Amino acid sequence: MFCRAFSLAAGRWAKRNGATLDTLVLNDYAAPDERYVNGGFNSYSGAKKSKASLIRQYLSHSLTTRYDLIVFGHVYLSPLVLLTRLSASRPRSVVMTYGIEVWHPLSSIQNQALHHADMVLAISDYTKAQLIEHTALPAEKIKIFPCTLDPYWNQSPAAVSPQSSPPKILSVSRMNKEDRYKGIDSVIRSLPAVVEQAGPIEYRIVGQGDDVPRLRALAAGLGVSRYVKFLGGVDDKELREHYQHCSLFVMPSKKEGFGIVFLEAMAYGKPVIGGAHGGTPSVIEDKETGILVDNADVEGIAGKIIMLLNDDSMRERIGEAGRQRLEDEFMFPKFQQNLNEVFQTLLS
Amino acid sequence: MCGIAGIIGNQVPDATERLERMSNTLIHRGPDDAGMSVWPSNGHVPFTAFAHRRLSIIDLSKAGHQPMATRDGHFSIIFNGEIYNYLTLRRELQAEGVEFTSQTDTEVLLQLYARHGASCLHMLRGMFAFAIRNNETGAVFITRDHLGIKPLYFYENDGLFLFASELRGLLASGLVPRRLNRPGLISYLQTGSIASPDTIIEGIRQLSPGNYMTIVPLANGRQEVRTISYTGEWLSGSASMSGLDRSSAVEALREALKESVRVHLVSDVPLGPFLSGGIDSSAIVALMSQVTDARPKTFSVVFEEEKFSEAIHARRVAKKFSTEHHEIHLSEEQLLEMLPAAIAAEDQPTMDGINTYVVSKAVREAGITVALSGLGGDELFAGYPTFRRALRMQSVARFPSALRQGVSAVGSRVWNRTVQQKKMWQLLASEGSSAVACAVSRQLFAIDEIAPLLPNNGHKFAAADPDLSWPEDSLQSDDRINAVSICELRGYMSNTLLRDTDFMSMAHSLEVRVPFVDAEIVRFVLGLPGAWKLNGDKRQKPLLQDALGDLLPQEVMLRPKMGFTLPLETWMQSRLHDEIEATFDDDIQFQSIGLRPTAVREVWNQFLHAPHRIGWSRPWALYVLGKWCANHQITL
Repeated sequence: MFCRAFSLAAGRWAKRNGATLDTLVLNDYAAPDERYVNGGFNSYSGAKKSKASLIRQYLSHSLTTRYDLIVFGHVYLSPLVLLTRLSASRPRSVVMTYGIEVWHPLSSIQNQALHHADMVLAISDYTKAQLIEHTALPAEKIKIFPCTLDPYWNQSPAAVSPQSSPPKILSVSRMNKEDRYKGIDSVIRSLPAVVEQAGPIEYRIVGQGDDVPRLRALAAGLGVSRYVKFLGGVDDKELREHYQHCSLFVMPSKKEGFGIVFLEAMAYGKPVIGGAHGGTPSVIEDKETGILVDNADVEGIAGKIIMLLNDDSMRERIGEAGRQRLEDEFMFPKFQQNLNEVFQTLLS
Repeated sequence: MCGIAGIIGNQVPDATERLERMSNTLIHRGPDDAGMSVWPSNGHVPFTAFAHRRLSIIDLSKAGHQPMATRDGHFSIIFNGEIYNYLTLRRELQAEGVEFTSQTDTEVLLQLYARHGASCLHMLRGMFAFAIRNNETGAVFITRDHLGIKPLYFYENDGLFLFASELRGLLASGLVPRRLNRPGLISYLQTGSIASPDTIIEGIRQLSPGNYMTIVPLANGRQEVRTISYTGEWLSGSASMSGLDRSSAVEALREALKESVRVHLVSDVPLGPFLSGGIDSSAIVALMSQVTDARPKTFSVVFEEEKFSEAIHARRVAKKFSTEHHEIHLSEEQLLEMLPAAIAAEDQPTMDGINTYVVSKAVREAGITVALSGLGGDELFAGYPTFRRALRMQSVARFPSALRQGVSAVGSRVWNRTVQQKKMWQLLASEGSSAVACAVSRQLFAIDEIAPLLPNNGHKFAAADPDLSWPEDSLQSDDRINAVSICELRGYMSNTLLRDTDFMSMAHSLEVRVPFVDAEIVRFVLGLPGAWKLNGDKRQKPLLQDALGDLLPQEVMLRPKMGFTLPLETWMQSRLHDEIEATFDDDIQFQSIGLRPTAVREVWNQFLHAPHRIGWSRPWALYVLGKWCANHQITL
């Protein structure tokens, strides 16, 4: 998602400034989505998940073209920054960082590369602080560059829909074993207390992964299976419907870089519960635009869910405040503006 | 916890007085309150009356009085048990617009039935036996929990239908002939308890666990009585476990056990666990420490003759979890004094259960109304030797049956002295199913030992087929460990352990809760592959150990399995000798219940001759049977 918004914003900037863009994408097989890849693109090619192919293409581009600026979309690609030194045009370089991939000491080559880059972008305050801690990069070199809601995300006109019966609680998350930090199991663990104190609910979980059997077993053992619906992967239309019909959105993640899903829920004016960890506090101001909880505090999570379910006006207030924050901070025009500033700074 | 009883049927002289007598025999189950509702016959709807004895546990106020009716008068209920998820169900009903007048689980149950009918049984988490009358139609619905924690007996004869929490309640009606039930007798001789749905009294049956009955008045003045199982595929586990790995299952199991213990703590009266120091009761205490900040009161009975005592182990666990630990010291003298009362407390004869009587008495006297027990751990987590035996039989069964029978026939002639040897030859000759492994393991008298006990050497005697009392799916299961689990749950646990626990604790108005025997836990654990519970693992109950992880001290995990047993073998040769001998001398008593006095006497003599080889259980079982039948004037 981030990549798509970035493409769109970069293309628009290029078109307006008479520049051209070459884009290499590691994971793409299919032709680019024209809604996002338009404007000043010269080329756009996918490496079909082959790192070798990506490097080959990168080298061939950089040998034939004199670039002014190269954006590295992931810290894993940052070692290529060092190669820019060999290029005659001496292009400026910028590296994008998100979350867990930089919340630990980096390899020495990545570390060197980040120091060598002209600018490092971090999607949250937390990621910036982590970068400073682990790489000793000077703070002024790191610019906060928040995520945005997908520009084509259709918001509902009437944001707050009345609470359905039973109330629906929504999570949207990948559920592979390595995604356990997302806290879906903490929510399941909280359900016995939630249904005992707040009455029946439906907990809808959108997403898939190899950890689903464990989560199902957890729900079964706790005797809450009948309240939990594992919906698997759904298309965008259905996903929007789930946001529209939920009473609250919850993902008490322990180490989220940012959490675009919170923005999606906020777009529907839904109150969100997130983890008081990682980048989430950059998106959610506790008790203002959402609720922050300790990822492992099952009782606390239950308490917040119960509190929100039982208080219509609080749900409405927090949902509305979240939506306002989204409008003010995280919509695409703001993202475009941030990107323009980055490019202008680097190219001036 | 309570007692319930009811009469349905016209032309019962003094029906109300009879029901009152039935209710009075249940007073130990519910000393706090009593109630009765009577509906006279009306057109084709027969006379019906419900009686209830209450032991107050949740909402101690008068609002919990039973029989309880819905506000519109459509339904009336009498209920024995606890619904542990009643708060959740109450919220659900409230969300649907139902209003409540009390804080009781009884009212939740009543409203749930009024809304959902029999399908409400799938929503219940608890132990229960209850009856609900539809006052519009006169139809009566009676049922029992999934696993048979709470009892329910009935008697049906020519338009008369009686039911009660105890068999003795039915006898007190004066409407049931005091006649011994032959299949019940055979069942008792085979296993030392009576397999459901049979009982020791002719005409009285148990409603089997996981079943309900409807008694519906017909236009012709008769009643249609139907029995329906509501467990169905429930017992064979949850199908949603596919793709699960063992370590995830272990984690989920730990959460499941914590949650079960948490819901089992719902109570408005003092509550505390039995703590023997074994792995199951220690697990309950450990899990309690995870879900409540309250300091639990734990209880262990300490036999002053140290060799029967598990006191040190219990103390160690109590210390680790800083419980308020109570040791109840009993001398041999005190134990022996309790024996007659313990036997008198048996609702049906049983060769077991004395321990529960002793412990329940002590705990109740210490001011506790609700106790928690680790019962069920062995059945669910492959704790019994039967499990390993069934696995070994799998390899033996590869040899042709003719060969095995031949070896067994020869071997049993030359080497057949001990009970263990006898069982081994039987197993070798059998077809090797899990059901047979259970039946032989739990065997008191073998078929060829029962025949001589009966007149004419058992001519025309048919052994009760143990398979009939077990669900078919367990016999067809290709997962041997789970098949044994189901056999043990439906057999030994439901017919012996839970029955003994119910009447022995109720004798002291003590409610015993069993967090392992929880519908959600049992379904979850039976849904896991049996191989995860035992295979290639020398530890006892490895799945339970792994789920508890580091909660329990290593010493508890490593201790060899140890019973909580009384020294009956020694007593029978010394302190109890004269009393038992006098019973075996009473030829007329044994004759009157259809046993050959000389053969019965021979079992006793053999025991006295070689106590260790014969074991205490067979003569003890006969002694208890004779005593019980004499006490209740039961004859063939």
